[in-house]
Amino acid sequence: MLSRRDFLKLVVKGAVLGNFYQLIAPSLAQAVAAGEVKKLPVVMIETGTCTGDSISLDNIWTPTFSDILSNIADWRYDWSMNQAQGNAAYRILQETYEKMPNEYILIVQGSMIQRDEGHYNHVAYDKGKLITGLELVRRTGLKAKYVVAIGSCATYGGPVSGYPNPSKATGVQNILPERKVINISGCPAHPDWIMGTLLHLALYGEPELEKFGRPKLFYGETVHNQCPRRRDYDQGIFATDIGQKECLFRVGCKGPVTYADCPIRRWNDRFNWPIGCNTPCIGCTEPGFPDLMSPFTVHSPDIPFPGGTKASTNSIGLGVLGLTSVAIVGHIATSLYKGRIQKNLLKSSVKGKHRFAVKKVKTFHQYRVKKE
Amino acid sequence: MTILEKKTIFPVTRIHNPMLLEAWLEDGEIKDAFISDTLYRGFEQILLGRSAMDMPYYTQRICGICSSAHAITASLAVEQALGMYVPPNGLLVRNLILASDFIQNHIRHLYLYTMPDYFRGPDIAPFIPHSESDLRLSSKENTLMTEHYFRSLEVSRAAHAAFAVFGGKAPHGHGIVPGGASMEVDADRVNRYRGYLMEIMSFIDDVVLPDVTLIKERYPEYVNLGKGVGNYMSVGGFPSPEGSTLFPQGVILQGKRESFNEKQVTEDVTSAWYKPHGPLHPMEEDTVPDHNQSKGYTWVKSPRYRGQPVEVGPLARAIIAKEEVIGLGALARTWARSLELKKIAETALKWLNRLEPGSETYDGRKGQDSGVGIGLHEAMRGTLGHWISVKNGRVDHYQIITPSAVNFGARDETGTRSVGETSLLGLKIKSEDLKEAGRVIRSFDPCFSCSVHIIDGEKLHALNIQV
Ligand code: SF4
Ligand code: SF4
Repeated sequence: MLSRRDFLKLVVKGAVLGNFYQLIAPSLAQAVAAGEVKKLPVVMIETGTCTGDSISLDNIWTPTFSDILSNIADWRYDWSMNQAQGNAAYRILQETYEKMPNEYILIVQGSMIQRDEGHYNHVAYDKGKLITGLELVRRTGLKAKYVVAIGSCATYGGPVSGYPNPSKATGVQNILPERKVINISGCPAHPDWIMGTLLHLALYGEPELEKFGRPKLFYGETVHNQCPRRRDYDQGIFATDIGQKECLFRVGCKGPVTYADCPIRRWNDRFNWPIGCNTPCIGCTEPGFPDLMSPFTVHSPDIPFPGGTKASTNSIGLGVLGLTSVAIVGHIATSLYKGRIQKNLLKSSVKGKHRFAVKKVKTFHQYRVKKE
Repeated sequence: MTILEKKTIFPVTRIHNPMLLEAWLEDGEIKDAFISDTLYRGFEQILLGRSAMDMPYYTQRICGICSSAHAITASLAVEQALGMYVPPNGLLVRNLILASDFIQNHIRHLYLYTMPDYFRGPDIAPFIPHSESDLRLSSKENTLMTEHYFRSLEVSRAAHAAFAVFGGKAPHGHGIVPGGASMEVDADRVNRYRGYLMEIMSFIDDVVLPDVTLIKERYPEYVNLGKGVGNYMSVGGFPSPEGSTLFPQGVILQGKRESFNEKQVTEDVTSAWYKPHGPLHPMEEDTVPDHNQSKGYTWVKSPRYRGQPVEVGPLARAIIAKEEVIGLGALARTWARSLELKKIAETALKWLNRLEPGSETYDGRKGQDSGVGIGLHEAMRGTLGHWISVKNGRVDHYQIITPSAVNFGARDETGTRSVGETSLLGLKIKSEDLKEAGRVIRSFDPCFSCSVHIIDGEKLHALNIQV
């Protein structure tokens, strides 16, 4: 079996060469054949989602999703793929959590809809009773070996939890406080991020996670630090509109505060990616996406420095280079983390009569409407 | 007096997002049906107050399988509201992004969602347990179909790679923006797109069309089982720089053809969980969820054209375009979808040849920063409309009508059923799991992630229908 160190190397190599899955899958298939590990029993529950993460996973390159289904994973419940429907489909899920506790991986796709105790999102029908997404994720989550949240919505609430969050959506970790949730964020999550994490779980158990519960092997570095336009940024050469070839910071790029390996891994056969398409990174992998990251395509507001001076984002990089840019990035990052600029951005992104009074709450989305 | 027997399927699998079907049967025949979407997310409220320029990106998140259709429709609405112009090259690039997304969607729908209703998959999850009733393919044909199922995954994946050539990534691409497309055109990209397209086109000719023909020969009655209401609509789509469109616009009401008039579109919420209001035009209506609304049974509103339910989707588009159709039922929809797939791939090749490397694809100038705009475009499963009002660059009003809402909306104030609910009436059920109904429902390619919005806890609307 592949050592864990080699596995980690292949994650990077596969990103560069574009054959990540092909490099890693054979050793898992071998390990499965040799009886060293079991075919991964997986159940996927869709809650408040657009199904984009399923579609993204179908897009996994070399060889294909079919290989995963035949050799690697026992893809038991996934309502967008099950041949059975209704009760017959639900029974698979029920059997898995009743008869295989601590063996299966639960994948959740979609936000946890909490409004009206979850009744704004029913997902199953059991003995004449409708079951909410909230309830089913707790029921299956407490018995799973691993809980993996995929996509922006399941990890931190995502677009559905955007202000004023009418369905009271939140991430899975918030409703399963008693156990660890592995977060594969992204809108949608890159198929390599999902499959890479599942393969790691099968072969070596839990990967190393960063502070927001994401595997460091994919989310260990910012988009900005690996971006091919970084030289422009350092020299103060900025695009003035989308569609241009220079650094996109002034048209709203959130690369400096977004952790993901998109610049090296790229998307869909690895030919292109959002910044390669001359548009800003919109920070889709970060907690607080979308509110913290919006407006997506508008120049970020001026940044107040500790000590009272304001650095206009126009002058970033100009001459001062290194230090200033490091300071600014550091500053945005801590402010985001502490929710300081979230309030500002909320004020600037939600204007006029639609601006509600906000109060601070302790979740990834730190501000909520005071009364509805 | 007969008491009808109630059967519930939940979840109806192999569609996007939760759908609950409640069918009322008498002697094995469906006499009435209620279709319910059991998820509310509230996008229309979330969009308010945000930057209008962000709308193509934000609204894509409504749906993961037709993301670019929302991007285009939102862009059209914003462009109209702010007086923006799209250069011809940009128009073609946007068509190419959407075309590849149509291709991906149609292939995935045909193989991953429709075919498993007619063949027996391999003995691995997620095909087991099999749905054994009414399987008519020989074991050789089954094996072949299984192979094609898996190949379809690779081909639809290639279609999404084509999407990303000009769209950055898929789903939820970045390339479609108000004012055009953000990606420049060069020979490398054109060739790359063409490469994927060639692979896709041979798959369509060699695999998809023969497979659909085989299924229609083995299940001939489904060509006409599951008819809609006889009304069809298309708002048109895929504009060329000269102003013509690949999909024509039009409406057929009770057999009579008329031109489409946006003012005739209304939504009604009598039986959906919203604060009640009569039929309203999208520019006037609001979206205020009210889960205790006593008549409600779904989160989908009831869109109507001149007060009537209309069918939208590939079959409707074929009828409006006066193309050949083989019937009006479930497999006729599948057939129309596969022919449309071919048509779009072929047209994409023409658009590709018309691209001008180096000439502009995007124009960011705005005429004003406030205004109203209507975006109308055909999406994969039918008519999509975005209605926007912008004030000082911010969204002041936003309403969306999605194809699945048009096909599967709630009953309206007159109690009239949607196209989807009507299509199930009279269907004879022999299988335990209501497979027959599943076949008909899936032929529409329903997607409930976009149609928005159920059922009150235990009180699965306890209508005691007696005839
Ligand atoms: S700001 Fe954005 S475009 Fe500029 S270098 Fe950083 S990640 Fe790249
Ligand atoms: S570049 Fe940014 S917005 Fe784009 S996919 Fe990566 S993290 Fe998300």
